[in-house]
Amino acid sequence: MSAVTPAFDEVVHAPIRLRICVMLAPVASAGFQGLREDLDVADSVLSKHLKTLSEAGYVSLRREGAKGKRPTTWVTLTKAGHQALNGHLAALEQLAAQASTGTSATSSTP
Amino acid sequence: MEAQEALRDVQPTRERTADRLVTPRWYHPTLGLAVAAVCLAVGLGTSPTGVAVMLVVCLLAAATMGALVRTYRDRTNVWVGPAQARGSARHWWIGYVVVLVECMAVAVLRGAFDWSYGVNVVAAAVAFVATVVMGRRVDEALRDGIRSGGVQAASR
Repeated sequence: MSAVTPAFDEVVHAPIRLRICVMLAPVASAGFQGLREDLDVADSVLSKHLKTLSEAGYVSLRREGAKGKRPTTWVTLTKAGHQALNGHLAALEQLAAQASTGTSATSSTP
Repeated sequence: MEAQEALRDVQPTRERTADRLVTPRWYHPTLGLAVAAVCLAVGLGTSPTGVAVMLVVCLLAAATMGALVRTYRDRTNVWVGPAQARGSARHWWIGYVVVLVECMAVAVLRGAFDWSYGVNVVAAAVAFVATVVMGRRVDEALRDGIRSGGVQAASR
C-alpha cells in the first residue's frame, strides 16, 4: 500500500460522480441498475456521469446479457479511478482540516 | 463548507454499498453442498463407474457454482471477488481456502493410504460447515470493512 498524495480532482468532485466512485471502490463491479437505484437518479443522468468518468479513464463499462434477457451494464472502477478517488478524498480531508483549523483560530481570536 | 459536505456524503454512500452485499441465506448452504459433493465424489475409486460418477458430480457442482454466482450478481447487482477481501475479510477468506484445500487433499489422497470412505464423508462435512460458517464471516467482515472505509483505504 503506497502513500496517497492529496490531489483535488474536478472529475471526481461532482457529488454524483463522487458517490459513484465511492460505491465502486470496494467492489469488483456494480450493475447500472443498482447504481441508479442507490443514487436515485434517472438513467440518462447516470449514463452522462458514467460517460464522463469513462472518458477520464476512471471507470470501465462492460455490457453483458444472456439470450432473451435485457443486457446489464457492469461498471468497474479502474486503477486510475482508485488513485483519483483516494487522492481526492485525501485532498478533501486536508481542505476540511484546514477550514476547521482556520475557523477555530478565528473564533479563539479575542 | 464544500469539502466537509462532500466528506459527510461519503459515509452514507459506503453504508448503502455495504447494505447491498447481503448474501441470500441459501447461498452458502448451496455452495457448501456443491463442495461437499465433490469431496464425496473424488473418493469413489478408479473404476469406470466411479470415474464416470465423479465427472458427472464435478460437472454438476461447477454448474451449480456458476448459477450461484450469476444469481448472486443479479440479485445484489454487485460483484465482489477475493481481490476485494481486505483486512479481516482477507484473513477469513485465506482460512477458508486453506480448510477447503485440506479437505480436498484428504478426499483425493484417501485411496493412496487405503483409508475408509468415512474419511471422505468427514472431509465433505468439514467442507460444508466451513463454507457456511466461514463464508458468512467473510461477508460480515467485508461489509464491516466497506462501512469503515477500510476496503477503500486498502486499495490505495
